[in-house]
Amino acid sequence: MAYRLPNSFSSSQQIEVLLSEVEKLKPAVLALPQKWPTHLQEFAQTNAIGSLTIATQAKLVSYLKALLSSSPQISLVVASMPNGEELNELTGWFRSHIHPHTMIHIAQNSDLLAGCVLRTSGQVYDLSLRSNLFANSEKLVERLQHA
Amino acid sequence: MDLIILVIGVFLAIVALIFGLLILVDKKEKPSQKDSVELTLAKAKREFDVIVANQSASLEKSLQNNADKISKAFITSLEQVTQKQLSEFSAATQSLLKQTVADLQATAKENDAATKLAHNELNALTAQAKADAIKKVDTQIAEIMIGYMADIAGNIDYQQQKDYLFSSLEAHKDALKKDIEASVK
Repeated sequence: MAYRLPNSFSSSQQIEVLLSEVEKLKPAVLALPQKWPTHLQEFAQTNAIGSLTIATQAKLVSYLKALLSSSPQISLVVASMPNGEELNELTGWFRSHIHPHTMIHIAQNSDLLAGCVLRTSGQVYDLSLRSNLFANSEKLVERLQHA
Repeated sequence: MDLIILVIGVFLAIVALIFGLLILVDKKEKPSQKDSVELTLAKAKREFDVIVANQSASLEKSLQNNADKISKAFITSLEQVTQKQLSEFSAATQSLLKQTVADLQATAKENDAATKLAHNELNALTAQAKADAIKKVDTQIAEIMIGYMADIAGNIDYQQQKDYLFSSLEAHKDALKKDIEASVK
């Protein structure tokens, strides 16, 4: 069974927390979603899960473990830190355009001015305004001279 | 009486003659003796002198001859050596001169090309150095500007720079997708 990963679960740490919650879920509350932990409730809401059985619990555990081992990890350094919704939007863009299980580890560096520095397992992409300005510093100087 | 006087006179004359002869003989005998001795001496001296002279002369001559010989030999050897050396030197010098001339000619030709190349390289290096210097200045100016921008833009929030972020991600979307798909395989 395939599940839809909520964009609010942007990092692998959040998936680990969810996995832990699912594994620790006692049989007595499997059918009581209101008693489920926060992350599991959110995941259940995204995937329209009303209750769990022991079997579905086990499947969910397997799914989450597979997700942790195979999901692509991206390190993102941004000039300004997004809030929750902004991060969801950003995560949603990655999962829509790059890979559906993209996990993002986000940090901030205001020296970038704008944009980001993105690191995958094999590449570094400097998409910052700072590097763009340096790359076009001649134009910058030219404009300053003619200002 | 006359006879006696005559006889006595003849006798005296004979005696005188004898004495005279004797004297003469003595005289004659002395000079020959003298001559012989002197002659001998003189002769000896002369001969000695001659000998000496001859010896000297011969020695000198010998020396001269030898010296000449030596000189000649030396000179000859020297000449020979010199000649040989000169020949060899000449040959070598000529060869060297020829080579040097050739080299000089080649170098002269090369110099033109080398000079041109050097000029071109120098110009290129100068231009590059100038460009690098300008770039450094530009970089410094850019750093100052960017630093200034960072100072005044430090409080720019996510929303204000969100468009730039997404447009940058869009521009690199295909490369990112390819990269991620390759990493998960």
